[in-house]
Formats: sequence, C-alpha cells, structure tokens
Amino acid sequence: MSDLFEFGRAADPAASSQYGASGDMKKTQYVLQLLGFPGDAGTLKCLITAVEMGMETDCGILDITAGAHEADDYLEVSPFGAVPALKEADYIVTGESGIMSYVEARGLGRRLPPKNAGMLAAQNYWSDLACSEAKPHVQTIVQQRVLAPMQGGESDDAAVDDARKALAGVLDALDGQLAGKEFVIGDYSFADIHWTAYIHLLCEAGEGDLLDSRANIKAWFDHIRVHKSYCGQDIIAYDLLPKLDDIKNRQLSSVEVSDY
Amino acid sequence: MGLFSRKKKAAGKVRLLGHPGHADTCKSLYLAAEKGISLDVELIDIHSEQYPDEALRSLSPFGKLPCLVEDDLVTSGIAAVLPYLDVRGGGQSLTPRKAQHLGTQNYWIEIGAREVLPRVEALAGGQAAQAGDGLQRIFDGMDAQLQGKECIVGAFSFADVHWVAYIHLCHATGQASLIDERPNLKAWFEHMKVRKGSHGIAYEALPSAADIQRRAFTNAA
Repeated sequence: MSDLFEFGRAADPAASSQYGASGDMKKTQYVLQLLGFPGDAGTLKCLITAVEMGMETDCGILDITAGAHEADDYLEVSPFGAVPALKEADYIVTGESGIMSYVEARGLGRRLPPKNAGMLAAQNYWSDLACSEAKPHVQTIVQQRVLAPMQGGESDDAAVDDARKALAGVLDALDGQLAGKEFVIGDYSFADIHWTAYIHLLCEAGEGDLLDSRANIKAWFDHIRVHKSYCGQDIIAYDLLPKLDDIKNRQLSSVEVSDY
Repeated sequence: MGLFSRKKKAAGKVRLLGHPGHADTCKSLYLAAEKGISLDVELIDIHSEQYPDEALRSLSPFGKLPCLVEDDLVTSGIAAVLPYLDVRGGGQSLTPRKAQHLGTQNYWIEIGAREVLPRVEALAGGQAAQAGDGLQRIFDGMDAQLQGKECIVGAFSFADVHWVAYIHLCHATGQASLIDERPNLKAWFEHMKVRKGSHGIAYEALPSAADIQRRAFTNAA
C-alpha cells in the first residue's frame, strides 16, 4: 500500500527547510500535510484556515478527477471517502469540518469562533448556508466549466444556467447580510472562509459576473483578496488559492510561514 | 445579591420550531435538556405540502429546521442552534479543548450528517427500504470508534449529541437490531440513555416512538 502522505518535506527528511535543521525550532512542532484537490472547495477552506492560523502546511494532490478519493489506499485513510485529508505526526483527520477545526485549534493567535452565543450562531448559520445552499450549485458549475473539459468532456450549459439561477437566492441573502459589514458577521470568522472558497471557485470557473449586481459581496471579496492572515503573519490566504490554470494542472501551493 | 454575584440576564423561554421525527430537532431537544434550557416547542409539519410555509420562511428564509427564537435573536439550522444552546446554557462547553478531539468530533459529526442523517430521516418518514444497508457500514465504523470509550471522543461532546439523535430515531423506528448487533455502539447508547447531566437525564426529553408516529411533542423540556 502506498503512503499517500509521502510528499513535501515528509518525502525529504534532509530538506534544509525541515524543522530544527537550522538549529531554531519554530513555534509549531510539525508541518501539516494536506492531501486535496485544487478544484475542491473543502480543500481550499482548509488551506485558507492554515494560512489564517499561521500553520505551515505541505500540500499534496488527491486527483479526484481520476477517482483517487475512491481508491483503496485513500479509503484506508478515509473509510467514508471524506475529502480532503490532513496529517500531523501520527494524527490523521479527513473532511473539511474536522480539518478546519483541528488546524484552527492548533493555530497561532486568537481563536476564530466568536465567544458570544449570538455571534457564534450567526457564524455557523452563514457557514451552514454556504454548505447547504451554495455548495451543490458551485460544484455543478466547477464540474461543468472546469472538470468536465479536463476529463475530455463538454460543459453542459443548461446545467450551469440552472445552477446560476439556484444560487441567486443565497447570493442575494449574503449580499444583504454584508451590507455595512467588513466581514460576513462583522469580525473575520469561519463564515468568511467558507464563502471565500465558493466565491473564488465561481470566479475561476468564469462565473464572476454573478457578483456584478451584488455590490456588497463584490466589496467583501475585494477586501478578502488583500486580507492578511488573521494570526498576524505576513501572508495573504487568497494569494495561495489555486487559479484556473492551477486547477487544470492539478497544483496546490503549500503554506510557508517565515516571519516568526 | 452577594458581593461577587453577577447580574444575570432574565431567563426567558426559548422557542424551538421543529418536528419530532426530524433528527436535528431531536438533537436540539437533547442539548437543551442537557443544559437545563426550557423550550417552548412548536410543531412544524415537514411532511406538509406547504412546508416550508411563509410563516417559517419569515423566521428561517431557507426553511431550515430547527429554528430557534429568543428575544430578538432568530437562528436556524443545527450548525447554529446547537452551539448557541451550548453557550447560552453555560457550564462546561461541549466543544473539546484538545485539537485532536475537536477534529475527531467534527469528523464524526460530518460523517453523521452526510451518511446517517438522510437514511435516518427516511426511516422516520416510514421509508425503511430507502435507508437500506448503508447504515450497516457506517455503524460498523462508529462501533470501532467507540471501542474502549464511554463517549465518542474523550469527554461528552457535540458528536454524542448528534449520534444520540440518530440512534434514538433508529430505535424508535424499529431498527434496534442495527444497534444491538454492535456491542460498543449498544453499550454507548445504553450509557447515553441513563447519563445524568447537571440538569437530569437529557435522553428523557427526546420524542417517543409514539410522538414520532403521531407527529407531536409531549415531553420536551
């Protein structure tokens, strides 16, 4: 059975960037390894969370277009096929929810979840809406506009039109929610991470015009594009998100933190 | 009031809109009882052709249940309602502090929502055939996870709240064998049924099989 996590610094124990190689240990003891796919929103959310929390993360590709998430070696790691997968030392967790919360709790600086009950509910409400109301339609658009052509197929324009129409209600609601706010619930939270992944994928799939009539989402997204890491590191999560060519080339950027 | 006592917000009633055969409503009833939060429960008929009607949509624009209302705060969907009840109820939070426990808790919540919830709701809606064999493999996974454990991850957590509702609904809809065949799952469920929190046995707040069948609430907190 192949070791799916044999990539990045784990594959090169002598690498000069290995922790402690220079004699100075960094604040985090281990490098996280994220196995995911650049066209998968869950992978993007985990990557953003790692940046926001200042957690160094080596990324490897799980090619879901080739069915790698259904292969036996991946099912050994993730018995129910949840994608992506994360490893730190001997701990492995799969699925965006487990990974995001794990990385957040391991991270540096202030915690992301609000302490106030009402704000916590608002964060989770908007995160849940992203997953239940936006995700299926964004997935359809990414599948038709990006993944199907990568697999030698053709884009189904009717399916994309239906998905665009189905997204209208939740995008309008988000636009209303963002009126007068810098972030989805006021302060930066998990809700911003969820929505960043979906809006980014919509834009990369060529459907960014969905934002044209939604000025508040557009302003929020412009802000997200230059938003510096929540934990105070000099990194911008958006800069590491895969562009269309990265998705086509099946490439993910790793998270490197240098300003300790 | 003593020198060191804090002024507490007057404890008003919390309204919860849901359905007894709806797993996410059951989770909310269970956690409210665990946290000692008194609920005014209102039935939403999820089997009605009008669901979600205008009245529900005025509170929960996407028709999400359960829907919780307290004073000016309105929220809906299990992802929002459970953490709200947890913080609102005070005491020990159900969110694990250890990163690994938190990650594993949320993994099992995600697997439950994706793999178990649709099947259990099919059972509660009287469609046993649609629930099918899919539950067997997932319950095998949970049985293995529970090996040597009293709760799903470390201490009592949100993962237990989610899975108590699923397993309760399996039991209440005549699928007890799915649990009885798996010793760790069975032992955990027996423990959850009698587990005493600081406000009593939360399990007693769950709708009975009769409640689910006649679509009514009788024993909510």
